[in-house]
Order: sequence, then C-alpha cells, then structure tokens
Amino acid sequence: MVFCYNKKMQLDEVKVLAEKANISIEEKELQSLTSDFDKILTYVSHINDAGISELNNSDFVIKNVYRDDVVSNKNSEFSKDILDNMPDTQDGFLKVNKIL
Amino acid sequence: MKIDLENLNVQKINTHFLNGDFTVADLVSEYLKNIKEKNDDINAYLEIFDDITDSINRAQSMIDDGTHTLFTGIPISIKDNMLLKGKIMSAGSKILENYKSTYDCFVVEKLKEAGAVIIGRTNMDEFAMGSSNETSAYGRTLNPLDYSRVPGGSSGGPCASVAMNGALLALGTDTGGSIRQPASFCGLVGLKPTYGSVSRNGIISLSNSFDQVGPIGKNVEDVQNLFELINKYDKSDSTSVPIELRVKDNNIGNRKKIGIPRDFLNGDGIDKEVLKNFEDACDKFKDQGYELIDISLPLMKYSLAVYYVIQPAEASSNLARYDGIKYGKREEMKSLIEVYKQTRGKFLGKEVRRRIMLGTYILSKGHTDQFYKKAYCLKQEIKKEIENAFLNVDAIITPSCPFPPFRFGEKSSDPVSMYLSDLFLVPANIAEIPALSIPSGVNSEGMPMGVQIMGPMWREDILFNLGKDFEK
Repeated sequence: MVFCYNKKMQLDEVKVLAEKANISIEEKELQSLTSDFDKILTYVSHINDAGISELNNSDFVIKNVYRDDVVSNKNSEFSKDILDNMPDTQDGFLKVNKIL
Repeated sequence: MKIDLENLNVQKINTHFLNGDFTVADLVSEYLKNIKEKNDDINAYLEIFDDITDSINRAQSMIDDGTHTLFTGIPISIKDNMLLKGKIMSAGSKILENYKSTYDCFVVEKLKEAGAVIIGRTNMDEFAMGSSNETSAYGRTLNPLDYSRVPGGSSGGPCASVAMNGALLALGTDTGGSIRQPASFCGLVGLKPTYGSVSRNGIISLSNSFDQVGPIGKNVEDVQNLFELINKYDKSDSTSVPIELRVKDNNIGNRKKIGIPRDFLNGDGIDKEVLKNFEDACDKFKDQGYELIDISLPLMKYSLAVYYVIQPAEASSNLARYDGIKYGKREEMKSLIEVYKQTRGKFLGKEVRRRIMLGTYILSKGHTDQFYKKAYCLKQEIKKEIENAFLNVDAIITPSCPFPPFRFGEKSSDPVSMYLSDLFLVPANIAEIPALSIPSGVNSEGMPMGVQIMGPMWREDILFNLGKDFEK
C-alpha cells in the first residue's frame, strides 16, 4: 500500500500534539504550526515515491552495546556539581512539586 | 617576530613555538585582539573563558619542558553543545542558560591532554536545529565575510570564530550538514567524520544516530591533524566503534576515480553560479589527473526526506529530558504537569518546539509505520546504494550547498526552504560516511562556494588526499 500524505493537518490535532509533547503553546503559534506541519509532512512523504518494499522487521538491525555494570566514580564525586545544577533542592535532594 | 594570522597553520605554529619565535601568550593575544574588535558585531563567541591564562601557561610549560604535542598552544573554539567541566553549556537555548557542565566531553578531554588553548564557546542554532544560526536564543551570528548574510548553521559560531581570526580551528557538530554548510558559507574547510569515529560522550544529542563531532579550519592539513587528535575509540559512547572493527577496503583510494551523481544535481532550486563553479571544480580535479565518471544514485534524492522523519523523531525523544526538573530553567507552577508544559513552552524556541511536535507526530500510533519505519528502511537502502558506488569510484563529489550564503530572514519563514540548504550534505549522514567541504571559489558577489567530497566508511584519508590535490 502506498501511503500519501494528502490530508490537511487540523488545528485540533496540533493541540493534541502540544499536549503529548508537554509544551504550552499559544493559539496563534498553533495556527502557524498547522501550516508548517502540512508543508513538512508533504515534503517528507516523498519517501513513499522511492518504491521500497513493505516493511520487514529483520531490516531493523539495531543492537545494544553495554558497558560492565561497575561503579566507575568515587562516592559523591559529582554530587555537589549535580545538585548545584538543580532548580530546587532540600537537604541534598531534588525538590519537586507534590504529585499526589 | 610579527605574527601573521592569515598564513599560519598548526604545523607552522608548532615550529615557531619550538624555535622561540613567539610564545603561546603572544599568539593567543593576537586572536583575542580580533575577538575584542569584531565579536560585538559578529557574535561568534558566547563566552571567552576567564581561565584562559591558565591554559596558556600550561601550554607554554609543556613547550618549555618538552612534553608538548602538535596541538600544544593552538587556539581552538568549541561549539556551545560540548561539555567543559565548570563552564556554562547552553546549546544555544534559554532552557540551559544556567547549566554548568559537570565533566569534560571526550573531545575537550583530548584537546586538554594535547595542551590546546580552548578560547571559548561559540554560538549555534538552538539545540543545533537550524541552517543559519538564526534560531539561537543568544542572538544571530553574522557571516564575517558579509555582515548582511548568515554564517550558515548550526555550527555558525564555530565557523565564524575561525573566519574572523578568533581561533585557528574550531570543533563543531554535524547532524545533517551542520559543519559542512557553515564551513562552505564562511569559506572554510569542514569535516563530518564517519559515524562512530569520534565519541559523542558529553555532546548534547540532537539526533543521536546522525550526530558527529568534527573539525573546522582554513586548510585541509589542519583539519586532518585535528581529526587525527579526536579520532579515537571511547568506551563511554556505545556508538563509538573499536579501532579493530573499523574495516577499511584498501582496494579503494588509489584508482583516482571520482563519481558525480549527475541526476541528483539537476533538481530545481540549484543556483546557476553554484553549478558553474562545480563544473570548474570538476575540471580542476581532471587537471590533477583524476578521472570523473557520471554515476547514477537514484535513491540519494530521498535522503533529505528520510532525514526530516528520523531526526525530529529522535530529537523529540532526546529533548524530553528538558522538563525543568533536574537541571536548567524551571517555571514554577502549582502542578507538576504545568511545570513541564510552561517550562518547555517558555524556554524552548520556536524551531525546537516545532521539531519536538513533528517528532511526536511521527512516533505516534498510526504514523510510526507510515513515516518512521519506512524512513528507517529507506535509510538502509540509501546506505547500500552509496556503498555500492564505491566499488567503482574512490569518492563522490557534489556542490556543498545549492546556493551561496543567503541574507538574514530570507528563508526563516518557510521551514522547508531552509531545510533544502542541506540537500547535498544529508546523504553522508544517512549513509554514515565521511564527507569534507572545501572552498571552491567565490560567486559574482564575492560570496564563497564549496565542493563536497564523500568517501567510503573510515576513509577520511581519501578525502584529505583529494582535498589537498584540490587546494594545489
């Protein structure tokens, strides 16, 4: 099946995307994004013209590379630098809003 | 002795240091003079490191006590997406305005070990998303050759810092042309190495299956020397390839045959002067004894479309970490979800928001098969097609960019027209092969143009040989 991007992106869809991506965006920008996405998705849909056959899961040749699971730094070696970069801390812990 | 920055290179500087013709401090102060004079306008540097005197003294003592290397005392700038312990690293974004690096990235470690003087961090498109340096949260960088034009991007700052004589060399990153395009726009040499040759440890990820660090300089020899310094295996980067696995085909490289993907160059929107300049470049290679052959690479033209599927998909995932919680800016709100949304809305720029959302769309249910998986399969096919081409030719050449450096604002309203500036450069990222952009002359307005040389995996040596022959 050849897929062709020929539908128009709807403002509501872009709103949902902003929600999913956890980004607050003003209404005016959502409108300009709607037409940007149309242009970009129309362009990238050219990948369907290349005549590449149906997907084959064996084409995914990604493999993981692991390091040995050993501690490579001294105790608390980076703690201060990392804590200093945190927006808010308390008693050596990261402080965030209540979740429950 | 009087220092003439225009005619220096790494090797010459090293000889001058050893002869005692000038000191590291003498040399660095010449570069700092230029920075002081020009950086307020050009905005290549976001920060000149305040402990530069320590680096100078350390380099000088290495020279004096004989523990020096070729790069000891060489002034180099780094892009603002490379960690240097204790320094701010913002990736051109407001969201990391206050982020202080907790360790040195691999390439900075190599520079420090060699005794190089890291002058400062340079401007870039926000999170390396851009081709003109116009998306930086810290103001645009001007092209040192013409202030009304863009320096290219996203390594616009690194390239401008070298072009304005604010450093001898620079390190940039290239995800889809981000070293080679600004190098071409600023009249410089820029290398995107083979994927997996230079460690990405400590580099801010944009699209991690394409990102690669590479050198920028004024001539091929300097770029080659800097590449050799950073071209090392690193166990801290799972995509760094161990040296013994970097299999080279030694049959390739001495046939003096260059391929031209002719169909790919005949598309719309390619500047006439660029095409004419490219034909002249081809003649120059012929004069150097190379045989030029037209080759057919029918899938190459899909590279940019493939790139703009995979890259935003990976970016949306990589940039999920900027949420206002662990580091960077935070917008205080009542609920946690609002902290995420407001922080990201307020401190990420427009192009970054656009690409995150595009990536979110591509990876969402129902679109993954249509876009991501299809693009991934096509990427493998393009890679195979290009690899096969090297059975017949040692290198493939194209113009670096379809047009010369453009003016500010000219392409910022239409994302696709901006993306097209990397049309010829993206195939090397897709195929993971090395590619070098070298200056090939100027157009009728005096603006630089470049020619790109692509080679097989791990064969940067072929690019350097061709580049040096071209420079003759």
